Amino acid sequence: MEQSLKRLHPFILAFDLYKLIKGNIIFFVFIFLLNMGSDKWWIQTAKWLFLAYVVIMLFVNIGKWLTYRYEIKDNAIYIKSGIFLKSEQTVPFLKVQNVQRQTTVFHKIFKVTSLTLETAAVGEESSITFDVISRAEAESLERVVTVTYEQQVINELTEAELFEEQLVEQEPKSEKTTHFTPTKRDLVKASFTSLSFLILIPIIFKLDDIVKFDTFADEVTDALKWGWAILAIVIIGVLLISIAIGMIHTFIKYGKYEISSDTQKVYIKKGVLDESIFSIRKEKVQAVEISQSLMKRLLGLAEVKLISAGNTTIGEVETNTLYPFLPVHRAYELISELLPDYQVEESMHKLPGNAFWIRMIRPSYIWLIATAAIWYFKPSLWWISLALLLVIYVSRILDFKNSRYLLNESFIQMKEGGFSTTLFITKRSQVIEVKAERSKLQRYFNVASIETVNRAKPVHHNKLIDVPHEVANEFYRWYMDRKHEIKTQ
Amino acid sequence: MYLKIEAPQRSISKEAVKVWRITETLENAGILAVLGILYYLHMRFEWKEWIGWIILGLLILTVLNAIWEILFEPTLKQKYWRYDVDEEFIQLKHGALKEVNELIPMTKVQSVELNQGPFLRKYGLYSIQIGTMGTEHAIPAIPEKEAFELRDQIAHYAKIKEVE
Repeated sequence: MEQSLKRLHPFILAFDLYKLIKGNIIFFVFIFLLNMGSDKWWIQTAKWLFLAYVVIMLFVNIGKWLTYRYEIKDNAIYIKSGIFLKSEQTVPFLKVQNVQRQTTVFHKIFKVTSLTLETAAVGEESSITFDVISRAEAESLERVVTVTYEQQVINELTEAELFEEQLVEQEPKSEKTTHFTPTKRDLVKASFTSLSFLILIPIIFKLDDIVKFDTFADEVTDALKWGWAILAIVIIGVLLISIAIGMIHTFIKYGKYEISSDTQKVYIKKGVLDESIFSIRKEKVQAVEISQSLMKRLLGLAEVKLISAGNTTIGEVETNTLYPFLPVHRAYELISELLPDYQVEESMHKLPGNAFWIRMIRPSYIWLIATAAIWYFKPSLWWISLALLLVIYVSRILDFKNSRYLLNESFIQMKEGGFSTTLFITKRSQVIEVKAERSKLQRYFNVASIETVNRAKPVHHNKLIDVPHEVANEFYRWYMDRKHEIKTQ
Repeated sequence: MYLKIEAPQRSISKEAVKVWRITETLENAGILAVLGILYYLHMRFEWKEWIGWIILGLLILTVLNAIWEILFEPTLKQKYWRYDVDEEFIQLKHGALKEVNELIPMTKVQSVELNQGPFLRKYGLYSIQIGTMGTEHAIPAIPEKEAFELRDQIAHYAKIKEVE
């Protein structure tokens, strides 16, 4: 019994040490390097305390490693851990919503990786993370999860279906196909869209302080004739450098993107230095979101996100984004390639004219408060109030123009947004509850708001305001029909 | 083959009005007291003038809000609250100014809970809390017997879970 329990890869100790050093580097530099020769009593004490802390942490980490054991049993992963406070955790594979793998530079050096199995539960127990694990072990764990799901599907089939299934099985099983990797052209486009070269602007301002461009400018006027040439060269030089830096930045972030899929799962791989792979079973995708910032709309690019009920971030980085700079049509194509179940219609219904007028008269509380504040504190800045009003109205008009909806058999599509837009697509069976609202004002204009709730972390509410009142009714009926398409246990 | 949606029929206890009047009175009195103290401190320690205006503004808003919430809203809220429960869905419909309709599939219900504060107890009422994967919903004031029946009914229907 004890034999079958496995420990994590011993390199975890090196990883923990690395994290310990990284976490305390500022403190370390402060007391050991900046105050090297100091014999102040408190520096001395801090040095000893710090050393004691490091030593204790080393032992704690060893203890953690020794006590952390896991095994695979009955289609679940079972974990025993804790030095003093023992804890046991069981996660059935069928509860896994998505799998994340992160291979940082550190992992690459030691030829290992990390693996996280995400479930839809809340709290600390919602996921299992193996910070350091051999690549073979990570592969095999992921395979076990996949096999468990396959088994479940087979169990559900009746014998007749099973027979058919076996016939289908005769055909060669489809391998992983790659759907998208950015070309050089895509990357160049991306580096312009993300405006990452603008990071140089603050640096130029700093430079301005140091070099004193003003005096330089005087000299330029003195020697106008060839001064212009210098100025032009400087400007072009700065521009080129900033574009180059922007491209390097983009390349590191988006260079090694790869979107692939097999019959069951979708894989999103990204990152040049720290590499991450997000994988999700197709039927676990709760919804798809296509978003476009103003810049992306101008360039015809879009970002597609697969919404999962499990966590989709590693640290700050979102891992569930298909490439964020996809040409719009390619984005739509990609969705139907990756998720054959999903039917995305590009033509949707516009909002009725009433929706325009209601948006024109709806009070803007932000504007009222801002205006009151300006009027009280600095009436001379009255034009800000006017500008704000203009921005709000332009945004409202754009929002009216951009808003679309469609109830397409078992799918719903909702698009909204003023300057930047999002299109949300989900299946009726994935919607966990719905809401329809009508305020007094909306009642007068014969419009209503509809809202879907989907599983995600945090729970995803998607609301579209001012659809025709009849559509809200239809939406409600549409949702009631879900009972025909769900399977109960 | 669209079904016609039946609007939910069951209403909540009339006593809810009294309960809400009491709780709203207490709540608003609390907010007024806090604002009053702030205003006193403002006068006493001569805070910046605009702070005084904001406190005064909030005071006026609270008074207006209190009149609405204590005198008018409870009756309207009670009048428009409707709910219904069947094997497939929980339907809620409520709102005095804004009409809100909610539709919750039974298979997604995770928990049902009966709650009773001191004022609900006084009138023999319970509020039913329904927890789903995403949010919490509450049916505010239901007589004891009905409340227990409803809880058992929801718990029974909610046992069936979907294959995810």
